[in-house]
Amino acid sequence: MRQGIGEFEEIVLLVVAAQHDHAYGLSVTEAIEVQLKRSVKLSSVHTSLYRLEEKGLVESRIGDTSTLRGGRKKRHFIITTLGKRALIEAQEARQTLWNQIPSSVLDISKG
Amino acid sequence: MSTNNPIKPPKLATRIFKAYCKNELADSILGDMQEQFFKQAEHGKPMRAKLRYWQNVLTFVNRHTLKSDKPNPWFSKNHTSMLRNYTLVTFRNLKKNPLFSLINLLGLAVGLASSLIIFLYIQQELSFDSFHRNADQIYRVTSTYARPSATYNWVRTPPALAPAIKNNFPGIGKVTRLRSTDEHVYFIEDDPFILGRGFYADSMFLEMMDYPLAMGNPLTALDEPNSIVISSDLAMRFFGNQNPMGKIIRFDNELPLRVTGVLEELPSNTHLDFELLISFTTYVVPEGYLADLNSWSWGGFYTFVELNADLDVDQLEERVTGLYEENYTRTDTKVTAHFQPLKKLYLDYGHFTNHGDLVRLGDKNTIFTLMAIAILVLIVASLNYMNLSTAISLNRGKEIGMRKVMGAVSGRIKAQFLWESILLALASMFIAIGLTWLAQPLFSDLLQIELPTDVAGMLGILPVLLGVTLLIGFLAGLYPSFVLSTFSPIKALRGRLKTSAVGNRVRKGLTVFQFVVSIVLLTGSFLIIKQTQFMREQPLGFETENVLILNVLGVDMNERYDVLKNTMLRNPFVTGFSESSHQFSNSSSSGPAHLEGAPPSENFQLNYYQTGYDFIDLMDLEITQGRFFSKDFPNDTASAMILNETAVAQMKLEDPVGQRIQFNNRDRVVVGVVKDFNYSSLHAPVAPMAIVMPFTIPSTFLIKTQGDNLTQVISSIESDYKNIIPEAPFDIKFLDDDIARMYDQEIRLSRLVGLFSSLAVILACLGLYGLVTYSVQARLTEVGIRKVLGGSLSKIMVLLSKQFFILILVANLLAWPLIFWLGSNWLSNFHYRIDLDLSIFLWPTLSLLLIAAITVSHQVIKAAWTNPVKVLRSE
Repeated sequence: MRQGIGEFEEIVLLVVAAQHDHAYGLSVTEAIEVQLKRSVKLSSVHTSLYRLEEKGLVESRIGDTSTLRGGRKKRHFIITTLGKRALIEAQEARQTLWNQIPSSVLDISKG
Repeated sequence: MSTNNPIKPPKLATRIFKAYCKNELADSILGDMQEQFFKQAEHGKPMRAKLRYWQNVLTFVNRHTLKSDKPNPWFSKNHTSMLRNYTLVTFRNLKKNPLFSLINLLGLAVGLASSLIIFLYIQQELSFDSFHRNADQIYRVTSTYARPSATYNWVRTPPALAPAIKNNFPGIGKVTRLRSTDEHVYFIEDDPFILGRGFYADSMFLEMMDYPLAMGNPLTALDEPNSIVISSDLAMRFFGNQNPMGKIIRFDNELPLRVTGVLEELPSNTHLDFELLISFTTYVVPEGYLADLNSWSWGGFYTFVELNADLDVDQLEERVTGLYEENYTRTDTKVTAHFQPLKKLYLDYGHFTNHGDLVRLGDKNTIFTLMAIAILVLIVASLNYMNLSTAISLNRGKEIGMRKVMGAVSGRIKAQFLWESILLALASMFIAIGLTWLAQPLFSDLLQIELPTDVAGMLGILPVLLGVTLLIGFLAGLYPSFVLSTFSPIKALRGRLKTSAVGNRVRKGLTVFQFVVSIVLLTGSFLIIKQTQFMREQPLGFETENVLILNVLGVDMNERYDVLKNTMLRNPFVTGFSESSHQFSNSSSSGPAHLEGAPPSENFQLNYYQTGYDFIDLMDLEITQGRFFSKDFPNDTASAMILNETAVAQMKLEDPVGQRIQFNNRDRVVVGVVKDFNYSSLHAPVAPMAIVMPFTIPSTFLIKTQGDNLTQVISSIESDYKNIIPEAPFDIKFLDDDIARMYDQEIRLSRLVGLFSSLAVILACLGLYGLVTYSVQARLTEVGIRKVLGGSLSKIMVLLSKQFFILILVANLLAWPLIFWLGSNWLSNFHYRIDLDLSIFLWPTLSLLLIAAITVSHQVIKAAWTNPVKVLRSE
């Protein structure tokens, strides 16, 4: 059985996929903070990335650097096929649940 | 952003991060952290940036980032890495042999726990009264009265002594007196409470002794007359949640006492046992006493002194003795004063004629006995641990052989087994601490022993415990380590190990020793139980069943005595009613007796008991000569006396009836002789005793009852009582209970010894089990060959188990003389005692044999059933 992914891991994985080929720890952190308005620690994102790597959902390679980083190289994360499949499965699972909601329930105008 | 931005990430944080983080991750993470830092710093929030940086460094610690493979310098050294291996192998062996290991660990743990418990108890017993700040300077003044006929040591002194010491030696320090209050009724509003645990105390008392007050000022609480200081329990009972200070308590419903202080709960290790203190100035000598507070001959007061530090005690004793010489009037008596250190009062009292009241007394013999038991149990447990460890290790021939082949010298093998033994001993120490903690309620409930529950008490003993444990671990490890390290690798690699004949003898010797100890303890407890039972069942010479003791306190009985008596006798459940000067189990009063016509120096000390006409029938006593008190002789009330047989024999009276005796300063005539009855504990023979009629109407009555339904009997008596004396509480006891209480000490001792000796037996059997396992394993090949050649199952079983029964028999032969010697020593404490006959020895021996047989049979049967193919295949 494939290891499942948690909610936070799913978000991290989504961001990694979105920032294809340019995702690294800080960029993912910032994306989550800015786009999801969710305060998150750099260390939790890193930990999550390493765990995803352990599960084989992402791969990492050493990438470029910038002066801002004091010449230290970035560790770029790229989503693997397995990761893509996990994302699709997660989305499908949600979609199934979404589809089961009667349309009247979600009609906010009716209160 | 400018590149020469002065704000830089904190260097220390970076260094800490680099110290723990894996090299391959450190660079990229640090990069991220720095990038984040600079971005934030650029936004003009340098402080927040630094804080975030630090937070990152601290929160990044997890299993992904931590360095794991960096070699630790300590473990990398060769000998320590072997130590790690030994520890690992120890745990593997524990797992491989879980039952045996558990038995071994638990055995040692139980041994350690029982000695720990005993030592804690002894520590508590030895710590009595050491909580007083000046305990070393406080002494109790006691006195010795040397008379031509006998010498008496009194713990209590005359009331005039304390003021005399204070006046004559002003520089001595503090002086205080105590007088017990006896039982009285204390009224709070209209509620009566009977309380007996109290002292009249001089105002100095609370300054000298550290009994802290929860409320009130210790310096002044006992200054004023009619002041009372009560325990917090009493305060709760009397006044609930109200503030007790200043409240009024009516003593015997007359004298109002004002509460001036509330005691905190007394420490459990105080020898004085009280719940209330009344200022000494309140004390009035009761009517009928011939002495007053200036008396030098009335020994009824405890005198305590707290000496200034530099005073010489011997010199003071002499000077206080001088005070007696000046003031004590009897010329035939030489009185000497003694200063007894406060801390010794609890245990050191054997030389006193009388122990006073409201003091708690310990028992040195119990302490010695327990100490001996603790040490024995510890030895048995260690021997057992040693035997079992050796037995387990013998299956490890292959491991030892392999180690030797790989280059381990015998020193390394020794180190390995010592290390293992110490590790396991430490593990059992922790189990033992847990067991002690679990066993605490058992000891306080069952054995009425208070163990110190505070952490400080436990911690104090921890270094000792640790030392003992390490020592046991080391000594117990020595034997197996030497045995196992000497095998040649070839023999060892063949698997099973056999030891030399010497080794076998050593182990057998140890087992015999263990069994000697177990037999001694087991027989000892059997003996104590038998003796206690004997004393309780011994015919006392009087009726104990169906006799109730009624206490009427704080009531003038003169007018109502006849009414009470007649009403009681009309009650269908009551068959007898008699007054009584005191309860039986309490120490009786005594007085001097002088035979008419004898030289003035010839005096006898007689215990005496005051009672009325019905006593003899009520208690079912037998009159051997003369008669008992009778209403036909009106003079009986004032001048008749009855002697017991012992008194007659001791005074060498040939014709006792009609003999005139001056007793307690009154002229009396002996009218009858009563057959001896045991009116006090059976430790001592029946003492000479006189029975006289009471001078006044006493407050204690004996009631003989009939009827099986006790509740009905008592409630019927109570309703009669309430009709006549509605104001005083109904205080009734059973005579049997009172008598049983005299043997509390023995019962407690028998329970303690019984408990620990059963532990010793269990431990010894564990050791035996180890030995059996070991030697049966060593003989498996032989068993196999015998079976192949047609040896029958029963023959093989007899063959294998014979030697163990010989061991136990040898142990018995060694133990018996020891028991005989110890047992007769202990029994000589009792006047009424059982004989040391064969049955005392037989039952413990038989039961031990049975237990041993069960222990042995498990392994023996297993061995005898073994398929010979299995054991012979490899030969």
